[in-house]
Amino acid sequence: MIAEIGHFALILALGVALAQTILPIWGAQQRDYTLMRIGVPAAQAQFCLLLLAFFSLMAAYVTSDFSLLNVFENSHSAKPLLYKISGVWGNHEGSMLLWVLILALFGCAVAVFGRNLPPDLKANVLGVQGSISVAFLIFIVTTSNPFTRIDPAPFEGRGLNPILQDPALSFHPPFLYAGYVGFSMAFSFAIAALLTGRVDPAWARWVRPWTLAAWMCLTLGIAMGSWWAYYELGWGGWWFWDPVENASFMPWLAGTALLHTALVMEKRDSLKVWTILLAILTFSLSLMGTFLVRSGVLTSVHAFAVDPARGVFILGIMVLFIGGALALFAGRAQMLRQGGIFAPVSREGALVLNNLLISTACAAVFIGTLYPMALEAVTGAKISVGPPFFNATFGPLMVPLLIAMPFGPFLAWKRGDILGASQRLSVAAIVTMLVIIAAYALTGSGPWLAPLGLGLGIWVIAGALSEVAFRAKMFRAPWDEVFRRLRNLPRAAYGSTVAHIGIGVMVLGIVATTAWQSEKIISMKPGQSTSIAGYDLKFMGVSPNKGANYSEQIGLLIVSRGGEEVTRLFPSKRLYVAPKTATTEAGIHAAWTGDLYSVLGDELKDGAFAVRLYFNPLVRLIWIGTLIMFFGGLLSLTDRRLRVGAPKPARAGTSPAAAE
Amino acid sequence: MTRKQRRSVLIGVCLAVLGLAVGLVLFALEDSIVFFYSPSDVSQKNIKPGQRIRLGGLVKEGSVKRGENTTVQFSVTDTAKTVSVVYTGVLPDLFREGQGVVTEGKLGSDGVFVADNVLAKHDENYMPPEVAEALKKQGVWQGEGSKPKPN
Amino acid sequence: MALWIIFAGLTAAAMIAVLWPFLRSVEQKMEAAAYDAAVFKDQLEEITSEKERGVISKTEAEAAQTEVSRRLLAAARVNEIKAKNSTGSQGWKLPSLALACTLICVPVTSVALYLVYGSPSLQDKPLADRLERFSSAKKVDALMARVEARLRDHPEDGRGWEVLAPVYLRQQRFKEAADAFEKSLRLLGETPQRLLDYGNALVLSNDGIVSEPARLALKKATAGGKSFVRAHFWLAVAKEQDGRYTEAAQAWRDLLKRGGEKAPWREAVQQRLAAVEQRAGVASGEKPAMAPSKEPGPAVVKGPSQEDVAAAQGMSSTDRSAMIAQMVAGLAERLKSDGGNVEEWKRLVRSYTVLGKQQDAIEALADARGAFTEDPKALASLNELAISLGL
Repeated sequence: MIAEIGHFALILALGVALAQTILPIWGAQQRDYTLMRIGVPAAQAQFCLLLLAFFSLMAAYVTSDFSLLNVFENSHSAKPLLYKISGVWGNHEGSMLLWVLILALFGCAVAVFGRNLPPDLKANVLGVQGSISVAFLIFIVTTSNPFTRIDPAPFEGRGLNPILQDPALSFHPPFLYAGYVGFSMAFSFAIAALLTGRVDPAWARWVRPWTLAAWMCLTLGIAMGSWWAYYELGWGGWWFWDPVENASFMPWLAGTALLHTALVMEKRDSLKVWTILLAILTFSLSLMGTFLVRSGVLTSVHAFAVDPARGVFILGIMVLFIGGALALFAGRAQMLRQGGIFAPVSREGALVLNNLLISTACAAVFIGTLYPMALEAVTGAKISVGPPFFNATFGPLMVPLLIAMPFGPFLAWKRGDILGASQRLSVAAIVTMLVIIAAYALTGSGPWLAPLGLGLGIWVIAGALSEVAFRAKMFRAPWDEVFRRLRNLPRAAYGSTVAHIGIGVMVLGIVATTAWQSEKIISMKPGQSTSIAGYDLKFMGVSPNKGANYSEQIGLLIVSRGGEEVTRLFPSKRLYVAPKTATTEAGIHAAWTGDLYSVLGDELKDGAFAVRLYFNPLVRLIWIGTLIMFFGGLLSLTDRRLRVGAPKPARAGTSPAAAE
Repeated sequence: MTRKQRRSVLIGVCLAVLGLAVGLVLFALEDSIVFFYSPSDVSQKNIKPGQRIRLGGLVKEGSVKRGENTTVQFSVTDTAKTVSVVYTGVLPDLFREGQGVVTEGKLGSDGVFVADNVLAKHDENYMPPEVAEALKKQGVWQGEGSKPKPN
Repeated sequence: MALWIIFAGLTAAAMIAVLWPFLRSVEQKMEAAAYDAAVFKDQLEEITSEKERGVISKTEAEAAQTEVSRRLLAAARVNEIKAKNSTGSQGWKLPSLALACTLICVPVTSVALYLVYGSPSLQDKPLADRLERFSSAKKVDALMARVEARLRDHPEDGRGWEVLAPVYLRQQRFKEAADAFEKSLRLLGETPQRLLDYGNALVLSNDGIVSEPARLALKKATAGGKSFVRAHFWLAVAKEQDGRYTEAAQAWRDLLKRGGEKAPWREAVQQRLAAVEQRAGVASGEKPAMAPSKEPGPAVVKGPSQEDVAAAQGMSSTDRSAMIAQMVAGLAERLKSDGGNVEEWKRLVRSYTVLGKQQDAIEALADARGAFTEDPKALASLNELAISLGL
């Protein structure tokens, strides 16, 4: 009965979403306030219903109710509870349900927290949000229904892909989706602005917190996915330019650009056309990501759902929304008058450069991801575009971006002073030079570009710090005034500083790992020793072990440094029962200088085992950096300014200017 | 600067960045694209030694031989033609005789394919789509795309 | 049904939530431009504070202030124009139309879609529950398998047979039950209880025919003065089956006397008695009290014809049991196709029980209940019968 209630709730949510789409938008057109206000409770009701459906499905998973086809195909009674729960979204149907649930959550959030939004804008935003819900709910109910039943019910399920049985992966889709889907808010705001006909600085301020929230979730989601790939796949790498990774990375890039350009629009009423277009494109990339992953046109570890009917349906949704949005955009573009003008060297100019570089990089990733598919469709030739392509295109575009990054905040709006900014950055530049020289002196080996790369990371960090120092008049004013100024800086300023520092930290990690990673593949007999990156490792042999739903062979490596035991590593090879699958569990020792990473390979001749060892210097900085970025976003989000904007009801009807 | 000049500066910068990007993309595409071939393609299309390709097919039964240390020798077949492959490193979890595999590397002048990367499939029923396609052409495999076979 | 009530509740709740703005109207109608103005005012304050803190220069601040003020004025202008134009003269037509449409369309679409894709008749099937049910059945099987295995090795273990026999009986494996009882009887010695169980199992394994060994065992069971109703019952049936109707009637009467007024099987035995008395009359050449006419009245139970009984008497026991089975089948067919009165249905049910066809008896009972859904009296008597037969 629970399952059927969930099913009905899902379908009822579709009906409510339909009302949420039609009534508020119609009301906004007709200037009928009652109809406009329907958007709010409808969004809330839709969210509650989807939550009910989602928890019904979860209940079925937890109780192993195999009378649901979805549970039967993706769960197994022997699975630990955590993975029974994460199994809910570890498959196509369940993950689509999660997708719309998060979509509804964002709609509901606007309904609840959007008190500062003008009624017509809010009605249109909720209406557009509702229409996305309608499309995806129809998709779910007709082609990917998680509540399809089987009768008689089997007694055992078919299990979850064991490679997906991992805590990081269990909770990475929710965040990834929260990011993906969160950009629907930017889209809805853009369409709503085009519908209401008011695209102004106030709009830019309203859309920013929502974009920021989505961006934060996506940042965390991508970081978790990369973390998972790092220690679960056993390849020693942290980013593979896999199409699925790219599918989430492209909206992130576009969203980052959008955050910056919305700032220009808010302050200067400029770049309107571009901002609106970017808002539409960001969500379009999210939709495309969903299409790529869900339709199965790609093949990678993530693409576990393959069904052409679904692909065509999502493609239809994509064409409808992107096409419709762009058509509306084209129709209304002439109404977007250009606002404030600015000199090429100015804060605006810097942000334009930022947007230019980021969106170009995004386009490069786009081409690298879709070119193989397009080529195959046209000529039939099968090619693969691997990391070399992305490294050759993406990397060079990021270098000027990172070099220019610290200058931006020092430039004034309208017309900036590049010389003054350079002077203010002189301390940062000196620190950077020192680090580069020290890096050359200390490493000696490795690629000659690597110390420069490290310098780039330091430059970004030092630049961000000098901005705070400059704003607080550090070293130029008495300390008590400095502290007072530090306290008075708006949180949004700290937020952007922290996020930029996060980028710098991440760059350090990326450069160090890429340049100085050591790798060793050897065959080891029990008792043999080897050494890597100053560690001595003794292979003690392999012993069998049995887990809840797998059997494994665990290797033991005793790690010592200078004769003293540091740690023991237990890399293993697992064989899962349902479905029969082998996985590799890496044995990782984390230290400040870097990770010692070991993978157990096949048994070779005479009892020897292939063992793969890596030393990844400073690799954790990559994820620490993304976390710092996330907290930077969080800091900005708590800024008072993102919440103001609701007029006092007492002033209704009177002219605000007259009241001044 | 006049407004017009400002605009032209902006447009100039944009074009420069875009030009740079297009150049990079073309350069990288030229350089780093890897084509996929089946063993039959290798013999028919006269692949030059030294060209980086992906070779996919089934691991021939009984062909896996362990060499010194972690060097492995095996044959990749699409049942019509067979290519021997040498690989040094750790084989993926599901590397099995008689199963699908994709290897990446260069063809040596002696006709032996030197792989530096072996890609595995990730569960029992999964078949790399390129391999599935190539095998379908040879009439070996009847499954649909990379869809797992119903068990 | 409960499911649909929940669905209705959900739908109603959703509809009320969505249409809440219709139920509660808010007077305040803020113009959009007022919201814009609030943002611009905040920006002005921001610039002032930044200027005070020296974050931006004075000239910069002034330029920015002029720009924002211009926006603020524009917003105010829009606000005034809009306020003049919007008189809220939409009337009631638009919202009510929307209200009606929503109230009809949303529930109808939802229910229609659910009927297409849902499976309202299917219950939840959590694995734990199913396993419990499954395993309790399994447990008995496993236990029996163990005992059986043990008895294969130690066939002289009378206790084992005694444990196993009732389980066989409950599973309606009458032949094995009779065999097991026989062994326990042989190995552990005769007691009235064991004799009764053995006899009972034997009768049941023989499709309700009381064979000679069964009769002897039952006789012995009662010989010690123990008043086993079941034993007496089968003995009476045995007399009936032998065609000794007068003796059978006497046995039934004794049984009734022994059971007293409150015996749960009293009514069943009385009916049996009535039937036997009738036959006794026929067999002894007397006219029955109520002659079976071509169209029997509702109260009259049609028994086997004289010829039938006469034929039965001259038959071997196998032929006789076959004939009884055939008669029962004929009755069942007639009742099913033409219907019949309560008494006839009850007889069918009873016959099945006597023949040991528990399952058929239950089915016949269900059919009977179906035929008399509108007759409370008939239903009551059927229920009584069901209880007395332990169905």
